[in-house]
Amino acid sequence: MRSNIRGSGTAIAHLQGMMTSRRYTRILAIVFTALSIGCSGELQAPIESEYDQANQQISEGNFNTAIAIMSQRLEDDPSDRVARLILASAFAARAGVFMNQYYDIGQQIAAKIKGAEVYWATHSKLIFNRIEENAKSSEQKSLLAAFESVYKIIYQINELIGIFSIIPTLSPADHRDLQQAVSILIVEPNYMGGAILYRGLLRLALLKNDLRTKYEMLGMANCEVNLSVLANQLYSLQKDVTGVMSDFISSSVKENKQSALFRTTAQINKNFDSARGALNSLSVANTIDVSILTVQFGGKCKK
Amino acid sequence: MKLQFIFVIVAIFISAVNANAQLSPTFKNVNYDDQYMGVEGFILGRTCYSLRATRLNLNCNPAFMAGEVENKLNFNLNLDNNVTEVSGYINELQDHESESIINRILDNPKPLVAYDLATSWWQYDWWAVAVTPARLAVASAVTNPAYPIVSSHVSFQREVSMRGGVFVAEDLNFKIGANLRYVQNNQFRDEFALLDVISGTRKINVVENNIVYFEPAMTYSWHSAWESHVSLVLTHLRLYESDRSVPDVARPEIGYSTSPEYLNKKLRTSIHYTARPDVTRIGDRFRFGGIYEFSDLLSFSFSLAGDEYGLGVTGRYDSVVLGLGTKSELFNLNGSDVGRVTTTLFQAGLTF
Repeated sequence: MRSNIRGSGTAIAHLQGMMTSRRYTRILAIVFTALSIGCSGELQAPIESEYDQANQQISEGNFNTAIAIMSQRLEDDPSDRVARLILASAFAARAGVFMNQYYDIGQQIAAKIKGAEVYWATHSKLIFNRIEENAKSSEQKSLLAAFESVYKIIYQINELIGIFSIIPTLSPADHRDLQQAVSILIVEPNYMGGAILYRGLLRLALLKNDLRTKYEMLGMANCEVNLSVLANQLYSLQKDVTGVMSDFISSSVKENKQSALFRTTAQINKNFDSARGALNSLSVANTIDVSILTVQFGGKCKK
Repeated sequence: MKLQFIFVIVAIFISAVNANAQLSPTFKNVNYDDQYMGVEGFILGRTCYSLRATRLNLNCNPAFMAGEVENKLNFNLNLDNNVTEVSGYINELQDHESESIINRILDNPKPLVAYDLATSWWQYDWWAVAVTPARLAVASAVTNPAYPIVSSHVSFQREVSMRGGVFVAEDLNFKIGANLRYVQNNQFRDEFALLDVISGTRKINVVENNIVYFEPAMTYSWHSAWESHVSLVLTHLRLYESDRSVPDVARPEIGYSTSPEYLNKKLRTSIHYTARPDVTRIGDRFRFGGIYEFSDLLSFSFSLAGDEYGLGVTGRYDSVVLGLGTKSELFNLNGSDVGRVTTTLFQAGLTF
């Protein structure tokens, strides 16, 4: 077989060049070895690698892999707060809830609540005033006042949840994943800062979907409303909302921001208490027809 | 033999200088902070320190300037394919608008690398003065969009430097040199959880500092058919800094280069080692690079590292210098591969 003479000649020249430099190569080997020993750097702790692996798996959409890695970490060490946080984020990611779009969330929350108060005072309240003027009895006026406070709280909550307008309606499986994410974080009492804020935001996202399902009565989709059920749902909703606001307050380190959130929470609780108090003071039949109110707000209800 | 022994001792000593040093969070496998001047330096990366530059470029290793006969003035503008996404960082860094910077990173969550600069230099024989009125270096990535972790290096620098090289006594094989650089640096560099910043528990600010670097260098060659030589440069050695909040370490750059007999000795290659303590995979500290000079007017440059490769061409027509290079590198954050980034750089300049 003929060989490629030029090719082999070049290879030989290459080898010869290397051979003449052999002793220098030995010296370099010593230098490089010394440097490698001297500058070997710190090897990455395996635990930190697992966190980064899980985060990267979530980035790539491999949520189940991330869940498996961090579940194993938590099994080995149930006190591992970082693993707990990443695991919750993996479930939230699987439910389609991502926080990278909410950089200015703090400003949005305060603005939405304030905006809702202003809008209510200048628009919705006027509608209620007009309806109440036409009320035929004091009983009717009481009923309207009670529902005004319920509508107000629902309007405010919807405005708050409007921040998450880009979160799609969750399927039952997604809802379970989001609930799982929240329940993973709830058990840890020592989270601070971003982790608590994250928990609050996940709870708010869960609330968005709960309003459609768990708090259906409050949506006034049915023309007939059971007042006892309405009052109970208001109570439960108040607890959920207070939990969310409590997380927002705990996460904030800035005094003025905390004060603003305290005031916002106090206002929301006042509205809830007012609504529940108004409902409890009614002496009407337990089930009433609210279609006239729904129509006034341009909506429809199911009979 | 004595000289090589001294070389080894010096190398070990230098490596001990940074063995226990701290580095702020950084991208271990992305070369966003290379001090390149054009496509050639961009492609070679740190191998630039162990290769003699072509006539269209300025030597990264000032020791190579010993004995040169030159009188040239160069102006260069280098822009990459991400310049439109990153040019906004310049004003944001200078105005210390941290929130805008974070928003811009969130708008580009995928791994992104960018290098853009305008520079000029004048070389007179063995010394040169360089002025870089603008150098923008960006490396950023967002991992875990559900609970975002932001990794960012965004810096804008202005630099004035002076470098030169001389022979040691009458030994024409042994050259030493130094690069003295004054850098005005605005940088936004950290790794953080986005929600920690929103809640206020982490504050990430633009750091502005003025730094004076002194970077000694040496090369030693010996007579051989392959014109081999070894070189050593200590980069990032700070003589002065106005803000000590951003740690950095001096980095020894060690290379062994050759110019084979074949190919009319137009090819120069180097095996290069950078002693970076934050690069934990030892293989990632090595690079192989080279330059092939067709003539004084046209050259190719290439490089190969563990997770990186690049190819570029630089040419001159009359007083106009043009260059084009492309480099593909792997983002590695804390041991995890985040993604591969390909950057294309275009160089346009004048030389007199």
